[in-house]
Amino acid sequence: MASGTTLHIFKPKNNEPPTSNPATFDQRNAQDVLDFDGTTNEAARFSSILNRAYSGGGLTVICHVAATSATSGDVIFTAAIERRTTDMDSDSFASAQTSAATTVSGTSGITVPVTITLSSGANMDSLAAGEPFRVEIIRNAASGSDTVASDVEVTAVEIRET
Amino acid sequence: MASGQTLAIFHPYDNELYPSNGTTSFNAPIGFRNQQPYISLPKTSDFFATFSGVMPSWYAGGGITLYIWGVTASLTSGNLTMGLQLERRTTDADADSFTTIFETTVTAVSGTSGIPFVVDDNRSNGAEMDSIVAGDPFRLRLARYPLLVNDTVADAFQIIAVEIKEQ
Repeated sequence: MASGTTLHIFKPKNNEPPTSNPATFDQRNAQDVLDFDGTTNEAARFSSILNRAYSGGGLTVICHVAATSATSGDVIFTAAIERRTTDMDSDSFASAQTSAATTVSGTSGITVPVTITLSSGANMDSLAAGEPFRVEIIRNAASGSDTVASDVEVTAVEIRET
Repeated sequence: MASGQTLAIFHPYDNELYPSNGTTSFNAPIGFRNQQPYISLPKTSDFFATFSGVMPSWYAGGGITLYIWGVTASLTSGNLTMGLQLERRTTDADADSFTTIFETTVTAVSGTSGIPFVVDDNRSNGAEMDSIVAGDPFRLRLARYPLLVNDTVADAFQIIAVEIKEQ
């Protein structure tokens, strides 16, 4: 299938949180969100089987992000893939890839897409169509380039073929 | 759309809990292993895992292949099979109407209990998949029925994900 195809969509309730510094489930106007802290790097994890529409290219991970209250500043997210062919009793994520610093909306309740690009091969843990995987999303709040001091909220995460 | 496409993916949280018959619980319990959810199906129980979906529009009418990914609780040898049934949800929801039980391919478990392996199975179109067509709601039921004599793994099978693909 052509690049640009949506392969997966994850919602806050799909989160499989890590024990250390997990993003927090919350609701905003009765809509599910995951809260990511403004100072501590927090993570969310999702699992699935890579859709067979995937044709071997890179992946683009898109986090839909709204600020809890801020109306200016930049946020940075990272994404890392784990091909689930290793012992699940320990984590085995590939190196995290980082988004550009992305400016939040001037209206805190409006989401903006934060895009992380993963090239095929090692950066996506050599994941192939039909294989189980996890993706870990981290807000890099500790980065000096993430200038939103308060929480941001993720409403959904999409994975497309690049 | 061409064959070979993913038709459905199920996650442990998608399991629809099955009620007790008054004396026996059929609920396959959810567990967590290194913070990753799984559905536990012991060898000796009648526990079910049941998933529902709608056959997508791109299903072209062929047979299907099921891929059931999971790990053993601790065993590192033996062969595992599962029973599966499909139900086209065009009958009275107040009673089950699954196909007969089909047994999956006999699959050797992983030599490391935490490494996922896949149990697969092919079902031809028509009666074996309860004549499900594109747009039909359906259910898939998985179990490790004690009567499956090819299943020699005394351990629980922990399902982490299930895919249905068109052949």
